[in-house]
Amino acid sequence: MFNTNKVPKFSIILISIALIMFVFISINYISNHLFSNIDSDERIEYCQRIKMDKVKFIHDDATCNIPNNSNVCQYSCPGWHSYKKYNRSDDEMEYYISRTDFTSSSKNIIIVPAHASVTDLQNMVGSLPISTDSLLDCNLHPLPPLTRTNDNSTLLLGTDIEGRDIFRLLSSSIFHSLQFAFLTLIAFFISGISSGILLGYYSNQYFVISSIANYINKSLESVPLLLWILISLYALKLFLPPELQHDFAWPILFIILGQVSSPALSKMIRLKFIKLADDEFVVALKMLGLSNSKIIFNHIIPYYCLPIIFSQCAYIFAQALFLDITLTYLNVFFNEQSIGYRFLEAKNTISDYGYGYFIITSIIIFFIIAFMFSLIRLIDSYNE
Amino acid sequence: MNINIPILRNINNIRILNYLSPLFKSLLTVAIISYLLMCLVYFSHIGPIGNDIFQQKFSYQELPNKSFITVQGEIIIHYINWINSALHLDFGQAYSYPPTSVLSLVGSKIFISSKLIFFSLLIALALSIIIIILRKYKLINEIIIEPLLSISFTHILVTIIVCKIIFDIKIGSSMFTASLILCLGSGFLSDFSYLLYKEYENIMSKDYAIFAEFSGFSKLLFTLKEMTISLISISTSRIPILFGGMIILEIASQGSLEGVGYLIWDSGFVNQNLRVFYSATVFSIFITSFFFFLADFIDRKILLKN
Repeated sequence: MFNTNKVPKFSIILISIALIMFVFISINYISNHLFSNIDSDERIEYCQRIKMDKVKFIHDDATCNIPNNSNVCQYSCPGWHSYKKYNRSDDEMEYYISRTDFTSSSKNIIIVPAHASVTDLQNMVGSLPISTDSLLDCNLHPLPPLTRTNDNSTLLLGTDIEGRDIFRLLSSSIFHSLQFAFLTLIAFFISGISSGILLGYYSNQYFVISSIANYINKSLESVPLLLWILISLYALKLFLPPELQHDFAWPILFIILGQVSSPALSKMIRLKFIKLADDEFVVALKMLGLSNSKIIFNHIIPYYCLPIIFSQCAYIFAQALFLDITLTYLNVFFNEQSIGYRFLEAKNTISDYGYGYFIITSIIIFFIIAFMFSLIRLIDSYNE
Repeated sequence: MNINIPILRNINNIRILNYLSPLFKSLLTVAIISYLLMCLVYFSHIGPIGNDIFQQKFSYQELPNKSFITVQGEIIIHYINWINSALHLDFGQAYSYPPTSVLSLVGSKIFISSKLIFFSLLIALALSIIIIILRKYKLINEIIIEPLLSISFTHILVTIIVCKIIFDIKIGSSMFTASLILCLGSGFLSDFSYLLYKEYENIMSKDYAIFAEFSGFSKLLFTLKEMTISLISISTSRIPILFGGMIILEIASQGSLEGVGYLIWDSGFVNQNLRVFYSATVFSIFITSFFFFLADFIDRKILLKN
């Protein structure tokens, strides 16, 4: 079984944490998509009573009534209004708070419609005095982690600047990216195992074909992965019609990743087959009249090759995730629902909204990749 | 193959051909891939193609449909012309102003990229040796080494962003910083040190090494030759992996570290220059495939012999 003495304890800790996170993410994804069908891009409505001492004002030169001398503009000028927009409890419209007669202890304030024209704002058209209790601040995003919403649910990771639940967004993106990783895995699996069997089991029977296949595998392996991807990107931009690029470019690129990574699996399977080719049990099975396919798929692969296959699959999952982030960063074809897109979205909002979203996304990506690499160590301990 | 044919026996006996096999294999790989790339360049043209396949011409006239064989014939002619020029080391002009030849441009960029890869390998090797020495202390291995190695699990972009934003380190400011980032990103250090450690354990547990230790000799000196060859083989086999991270690092440096990766990206996708894109890609494939086949040759011939 697994020789856990050979596996660093840290890897086991990483695997455990990653599994726990994956369970949470899966529960969230399943509950959103199967039971409630909530869109991950949906804005979370979260409003609170306004805190009078936290209201900040700006001077809008466009609506100032002495635009040529706005420096001496008094607070009673229509140009002075709140920086944020606010809502009323029974109204969908947004309003500015006018600076006129405003103090932090006021019970009544004047509000003006935020989406009125410049002329209307200048003339304070539609302004009304209301009590401070009936005004709500609904522009509180990004919310911090573990915030309780108005409907008593908890936002585990908070929201981003657009009001989207980060945990829901990330779980949806992870599963979206996992679909492409599975495509890579299938291509990797089919190509790697079939060429491994050809080069390992049938190399003597089909010498010429297996020599050519061996050379093709080595050529694929000799060129850096990213260079293959860049060449494929160039070819896709050339041959794929623009209207199909959005839907088909990504699946094709991930399948290409699986194909060009398959020589690694093929090499390991080939070595196993060469080692076992003259083994007694194989000779005995042949003498019993078993077909080659039964020997390969019922005996050799399940009992001798499975650990190799699993460890390589874990590696290719990590590579697929790396490719996701790389493709989004290169911005030739990108997918708005992928985890790579979330990562770069988080990176681009650092200067405006801080490190929160970026750190959360980086940690999740780290644990997914750490899980894959740690799993490889665990499976290798089984091999030993 | 009938080995008793005299001329074939002579050829088999010529050892030099064996030692040049990595070069021949990489040349064959480059020939096939460069031909496929030439097909891409041919199909990227929207207008008629003149004598120079790398020059885009525009025309409002509808081009006549050509059969597959005619198209392939034209591509083969352009390809042979390119090879002919390449054999004379004439890859054309990259830019007309300032006048820069493709060879000097690609050569200078490859030099920068090679330095980056070389320093990354050196740093990774130094760190791996320290890790191998310290690994025998289980507590240090569990508490310090494994967590530190797990830093390299993150994508190289995360490492770049963390350095840029949190530590305020400019990527292109020094070759050492860039090499350190390259070595730490995308799982390379963890993978490299793990392979070296496995190989070290494997060699140290061999009969001759144990016998040397019991006989009072230095185990390290006895196994130095095999360890050196394994080190060279593992390092050369990791070059294609480092190359991928290097391309991302160069693009992320936004021009301050302009190696061959940035050149391929820039000439292929940003400021399209087909001649530079084609030559830079072919050169890169030649270098990486040569190192790969060399590592494979070392594995098969020298390590097996030992």
